Amino acid sequence: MESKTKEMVFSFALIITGIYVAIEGYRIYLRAASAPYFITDFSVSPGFIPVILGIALLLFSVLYLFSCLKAEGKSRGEVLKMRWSEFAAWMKANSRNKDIAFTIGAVIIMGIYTFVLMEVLSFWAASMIFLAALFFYLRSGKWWKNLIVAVVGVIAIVIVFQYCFNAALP
Amino acid sequence: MAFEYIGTAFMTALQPFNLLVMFLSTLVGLVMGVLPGLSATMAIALLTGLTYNFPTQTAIISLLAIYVGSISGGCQSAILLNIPGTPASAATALDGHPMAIQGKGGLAIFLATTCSCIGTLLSVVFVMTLTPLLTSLALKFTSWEFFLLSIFGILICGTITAQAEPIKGWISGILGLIVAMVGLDTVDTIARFSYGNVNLMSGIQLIPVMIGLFGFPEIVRVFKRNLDEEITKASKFEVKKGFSLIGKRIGTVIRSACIGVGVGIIPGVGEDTAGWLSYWSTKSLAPKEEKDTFGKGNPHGVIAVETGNNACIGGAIIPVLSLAVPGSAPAAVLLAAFLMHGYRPGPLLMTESPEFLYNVCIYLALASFSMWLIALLLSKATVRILGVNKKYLMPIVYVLCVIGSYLINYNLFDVKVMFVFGLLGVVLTSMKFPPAPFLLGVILGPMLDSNLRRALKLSNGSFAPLFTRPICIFFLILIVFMILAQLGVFKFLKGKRIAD
Repeated sequence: MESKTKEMVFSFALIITGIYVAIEGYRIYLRAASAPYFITDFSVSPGFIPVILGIALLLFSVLYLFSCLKAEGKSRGEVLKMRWSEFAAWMKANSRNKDIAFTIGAVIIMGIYTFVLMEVLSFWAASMIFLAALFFYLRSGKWWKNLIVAVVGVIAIVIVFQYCFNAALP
Repeated sequence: MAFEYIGTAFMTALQPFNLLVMFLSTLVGLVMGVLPGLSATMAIALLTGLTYNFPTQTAIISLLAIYVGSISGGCQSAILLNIPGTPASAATALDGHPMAIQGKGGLAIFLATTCSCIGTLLSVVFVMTLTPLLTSLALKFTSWEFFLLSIFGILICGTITAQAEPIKGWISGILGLIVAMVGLDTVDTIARFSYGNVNLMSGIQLIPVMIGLFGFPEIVRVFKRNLDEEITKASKFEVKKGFSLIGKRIGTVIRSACIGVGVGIIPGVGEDTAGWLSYWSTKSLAPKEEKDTFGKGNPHGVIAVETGNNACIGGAIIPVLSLAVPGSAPAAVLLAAFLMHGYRPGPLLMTESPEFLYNVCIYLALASFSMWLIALLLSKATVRILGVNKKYLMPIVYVLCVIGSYLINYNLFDVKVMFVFGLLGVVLTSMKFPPAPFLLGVILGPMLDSNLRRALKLSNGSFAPLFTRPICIFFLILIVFMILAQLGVFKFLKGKRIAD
């Protein structure tokens, strides 16, 4: 996919973020204006800066969107249509892209380690499982080498941090 | 008084444990600098969390040594591999690698390492002299000026790091400022963007954001990248010839150091820009017959780049100490580390903790000597280091990222924050949005917010002081001029006038 098409989709996400931040900032102002705070002056309210930042993000994102929609000899509407069809084609093609799927798989393993394993297991057990799993997934080396590096790596980290630096690991 | 501080700093740095930490940190920095993909920013970000339990002075020594080591280490892979270990050494490869091909790899590494050391040492002189001057100027700043300074810092950082598309840098900075708004506000302690979550109410911690933004994308990149590099072996150093070459080009060394310091002082502009500018100036000023030899193994190219990029270290630290505005991405991380270890850089630094400036200078100077020694010894093993399988290294680096994020508050929530910002970092990098303004936004967000609201409270909601105070007017003109220039308004007006 042409990078401008990707950027156009991203600029829409930024516009939505800008609108959300501005609205949420205004809601913070309303909350601060009511009991028990009674900060009725908008310019000194805690919602003031978020509103300004939301509007600034919205404005710059719109400018960014316009820069993505520039194409010689075509109107912005035509370019918008063309970019959407390019995006749909890209999504279709990349849903079967092995390289992207492989990277996402590795990121999922990192996510499982961060959100699940670290919560339910001790640091050393979680890290050993994570390292071994990721080494196997990435095909880093032979199976026995993967296991040795995972075990030795975690033991070294635990020795350095827990015993040398006296840091309490999770 | 200054001599007393310098003496104390020397005594502290020369304590056996601190000396050991300095050597080890320099080594870690050098190794991270040598390995392509592990940047100086990532090295400091990672080690900041890990130095959390260190005594304050030991931690500062460690972080400065890592900074010097990682910026200097990049030249070795640039020379032997033609792939710069860090962006700062990108220009070193232009003449360094041809030198290695010609069998002068050892001389190139010696020149690069020695000039890196000289560059850092010269920048220390600037840190010592310019910081108090800038600090005394900053004492004239009130809340209005600090508000405008934070906007100016983010805008200029965005402009320079995004290069062709400054709007991307500005958007990145605004996103960082929005992240800084999460948690209880500093003036009225009202929760913002917290959604009733106790962890979010205490705000987003800087270190996990930093590790996620800079470390995570580098780790993920290795998953899909197959590096197939040809490594040229280093020859003998030729110490005598090296010193003689540097001696003959002392003018280049001093000029490059001045460029490096100047570039470093500008918020957000990094060591890479300093290296390129130094190279460009040396090439431009070279005699006509020498100009053609640049890019074909001219040792003066290596001398200029490595002096320039390392002098940028001191330059980038000057605004950190005097204004609390970082001069480069690694310096932004360093600022966060200083804050974490209880120092409050900024205009009051020379009043509250005057010894800190001298500590930083002495630690930097000693770290540069340590770097020179270790880098030359390490160059013998560089070929082996470069051969490390990244598919083993990067998962282990991720475990270190997890520990670095966890140790800030001993809270697993920060590890999750690191992961989430890591994903955001991957998206930003793939869209070519620079992460440095984002980080600067997170750092400067509280300063911007509290100063503007405090100023507005004092002026009863009036914006009039913004247009009547001389320093404010100066900053306003700069900001407006920068935005209009980058959006092409002046070009448009000029084009229209010509058409008329």
